[in-house]
Amino acid sequence: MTRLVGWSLLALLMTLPLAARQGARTKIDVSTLGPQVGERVPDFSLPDQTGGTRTLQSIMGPKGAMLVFIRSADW
Amino acid sequence: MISYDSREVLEAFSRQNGITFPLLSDKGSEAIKRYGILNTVVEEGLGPNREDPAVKADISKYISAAGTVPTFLGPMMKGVPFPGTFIVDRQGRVTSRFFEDFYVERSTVAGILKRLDGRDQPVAGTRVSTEHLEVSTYPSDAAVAPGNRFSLALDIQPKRGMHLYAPGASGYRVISLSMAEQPFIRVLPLKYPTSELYVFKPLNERVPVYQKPFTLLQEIVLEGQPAAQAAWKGKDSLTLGGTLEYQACDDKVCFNPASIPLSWTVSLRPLVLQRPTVAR
Repeated sequence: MTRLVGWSLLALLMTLPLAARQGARTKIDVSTLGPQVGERVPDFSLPDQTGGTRTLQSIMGPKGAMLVFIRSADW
Repeated sequence: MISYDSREVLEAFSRQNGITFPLLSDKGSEAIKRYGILNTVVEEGLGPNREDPAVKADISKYISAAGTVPTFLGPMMKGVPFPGTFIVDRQGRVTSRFFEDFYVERSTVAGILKRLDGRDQPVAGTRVSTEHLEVSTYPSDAAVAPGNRFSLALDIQPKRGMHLYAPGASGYRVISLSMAEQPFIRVLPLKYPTSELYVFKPLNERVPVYQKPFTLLQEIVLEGQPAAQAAWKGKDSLTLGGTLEYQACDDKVCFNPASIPLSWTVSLRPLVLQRPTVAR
């Protein structure tokens, strides 16, 4: 058993750098990133500017919500 | 609105800019990562592959037009998302999403709403009437800033008994809008709604047309790269010109192709460049 784990680990260690080298960088395509149409977005629990805690449920309006991700309000 | 800024920065930013909707502080970028939209190009641009041409190309698109991560800003930028918008229903399911291919550009909220459902008209329109149709046209936003993607809406009502030719019609002038070229203005392909088939029995002809009121949407990008920003500087409005071309027929007569000159004026507003005032 130990030997089997040992061999598997060795095999993994040998393939990893190769995979990293072969795995050419994929060009970024923002349309494929994040939840797609029809998928559910992850929930969150984050402080808002007033200090209150907001979740996906708490920001929901009667028709749903608009989630706008921005880079920064600071620069 | 979600960003990796601290609550203090968001508090100052909303106070200084009169913002009342929730600004959420995702300090540490955990939510941004869970959403799968972390800007990974920042790390690449600071790492050993920063000279890789493919990496440089993505840096120009998603971080800085110069193709390198600015040394003073780079470490600070770790943790930012690719900017974008999700519209979700009450169950949290995505009904539409808007991500831009260039970090300088953003859809305006009114522009997004216009694309989602055509009913909203916050800006006064221009009305033109010909013997074949009535058109009311207006921009989605009264004021735009460099980098904004917004739209010009054309609500068109064919007059009684008239039909106008839609894309796919051959042998007739399909309704179209040609925009006058201007530096630092990008005109996206005109968006047409679904048309209907008109059957003209005498010729046994089936042609795609519009007979009921419909809306054409012309999306415009006010470019925001440094050269464009310099060109917009000091100007307080922007006038766009275009020509609507169409051909109308009723069940007896086909009229000559016609064109209507149109123009739209929007205010130009500067970008908010002032940093929120917080103890640093």
